[in-house]
Amino acid sequence: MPATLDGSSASFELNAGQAGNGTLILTGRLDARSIAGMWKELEARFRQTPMSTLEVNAAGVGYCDGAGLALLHALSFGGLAGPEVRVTVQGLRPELLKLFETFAAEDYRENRPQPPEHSSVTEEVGRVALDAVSGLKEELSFIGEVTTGLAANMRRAKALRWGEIWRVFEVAGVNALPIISLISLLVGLIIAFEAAGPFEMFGAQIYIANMLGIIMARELAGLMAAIILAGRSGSAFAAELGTMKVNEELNALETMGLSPVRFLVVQRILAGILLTPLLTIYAIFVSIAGGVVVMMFMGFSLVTIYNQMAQSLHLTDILIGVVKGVIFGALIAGIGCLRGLQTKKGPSAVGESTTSSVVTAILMIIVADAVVAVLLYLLHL
Amino acid sequence: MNVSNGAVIKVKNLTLGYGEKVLMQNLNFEVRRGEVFVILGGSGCGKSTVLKHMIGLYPPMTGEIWFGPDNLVTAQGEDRIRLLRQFGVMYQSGALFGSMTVLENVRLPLDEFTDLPAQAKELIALTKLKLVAMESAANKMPADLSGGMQKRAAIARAIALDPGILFLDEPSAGLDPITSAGLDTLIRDLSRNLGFTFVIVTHELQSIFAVADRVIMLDGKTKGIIGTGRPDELRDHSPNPWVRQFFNRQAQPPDPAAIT
Repeated sequence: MPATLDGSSASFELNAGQAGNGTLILTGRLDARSIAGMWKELEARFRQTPMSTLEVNAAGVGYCDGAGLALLHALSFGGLAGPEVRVTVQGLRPELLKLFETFAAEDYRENRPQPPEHSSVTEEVGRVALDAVSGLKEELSFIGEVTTGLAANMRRAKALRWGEIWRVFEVAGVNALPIISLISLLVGLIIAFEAAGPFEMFGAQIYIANMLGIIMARELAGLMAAIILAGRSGSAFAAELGTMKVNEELNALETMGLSPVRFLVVQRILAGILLTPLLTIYAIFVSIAGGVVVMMFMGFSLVTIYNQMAQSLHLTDILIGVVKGVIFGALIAGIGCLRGLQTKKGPSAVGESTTSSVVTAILMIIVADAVVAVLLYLLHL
Repeated sequence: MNVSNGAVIKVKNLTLGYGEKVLMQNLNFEVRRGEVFVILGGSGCGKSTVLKHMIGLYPPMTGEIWFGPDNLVTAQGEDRIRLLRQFGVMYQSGALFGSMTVLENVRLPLDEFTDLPAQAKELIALTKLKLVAMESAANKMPADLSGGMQKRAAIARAIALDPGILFLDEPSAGLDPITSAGLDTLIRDLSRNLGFTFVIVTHELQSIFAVADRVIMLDGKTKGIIGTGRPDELRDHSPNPWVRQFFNRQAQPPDPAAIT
């Protein structure tokens, strides 16, 4: 069945005989090019001339490729003339007949794609609820495994694979410094700049320093660092572990008697817990520096700004930022790793895990931030 | 069907490699219409690289690859696309698109390159799947198939447009003997009954004896062809003892570079 790419021609002659007994004579080259038009024409002709039997004469077919066979099959399965028409195909050359007969009507009916089954709303709700419960179970068991893994590794600190922790530190931390610097500096600048107008109305521009210090230390710097980490590193953890799962590297670890959680996850979570507070402190200072630049342009001296900020910004505020950093770090690394371990089969699975890790991490960061804010209010901090 | 002894592919003075490193130099051989042509050689000698050059994935350092009157190395634009459609390729891993069902994989070239109605494309795809005994897996996802099934489905996709020439990269690798033998039978049937020309890269001796009409044997050290002919001829009468030992599956063959 060699292909030809030159021009091809085929023709047909449809005769509607008496008592609905039709004949169809096919001649020429039946290939993808020639039958594309013929197919539609035949469909239209069959609609116009209903018949009860059809005899297809293919003796004049010189060449027939897969497309030509499809036409003959469609005719014989009733796909063109209608399912009620009895169709016989005659005159095919022996080698084509052999090919024609390898594919039966049952093969087509049984294996053609079926329309997707529609489930009821109740079924959908049930399925979503079950998924949520099983997801919660998985998350709880993951938290348990990580906790025991952390405890076990703490007892045997030498077995902790510090090299891996430092590698994550470098990739997720040091390499993130430029982007964190830029975003923090710009956010500090923007907030001070935007606040300048309203504060000026009350002659309170000097209090921009108070606002900047508190808002950055307690809230924004930690959130910025965490969101950048979730996008940069949480997703990387998910992709890394997901690819390892797809490549069966996680299975290899398990069959060696090594728990993937203790071998891969604990290190990343520890790195996240240690790294995020450091990046938060860094972001606090850089963003405040951004605001200070704006205030200096407004005519305040550095000493004035410092004194003003020192009155309002306490060590507690920075410590709150640090504590939030620890929580955010654990969440980002934990969620990234969990989504990586949950990676399913297929080429889009790693991508789905990565997306899910970022979305879940950002959501959980905001939720955790809200919870901490309420706790701090209750503790009068 | 329509098997003649004319050459469908002619490789002339092909030198190939990566960067500065030359893997093979001055390869000259031809593939005849309707034959099962096997490229073989030891692991890592560059067999698959030769195949990837023959299908136009990599540009050679020098040389020509002729498909009939057209040189794939210099063909550009539409000419090149027309040339590429003359052959189908089955990659070592099957390379089925994981986000599509098996049937959709086989339908893809028909959707892209023909104006056929949907029913025709579905019928063609199912017929090709039936040819490789995969029709019952038509609506499954590739991830749900075994390695052998993925390779068979990949062959169905490769023959969707009736290309006439099929390149198979390590079709038997990683398959159990029964599945591997089934694949050999399929290759032979497609070749004998439908006139497909096969270019196969493998080092599975049983497969070679089961399917090959002619083989060339590549050698990484001499960077060239050290044997051409029917597999039984090479096994029994090759002047190169290394080739004979390869075919007789003897351990520790001598250094072919040292053999004159």
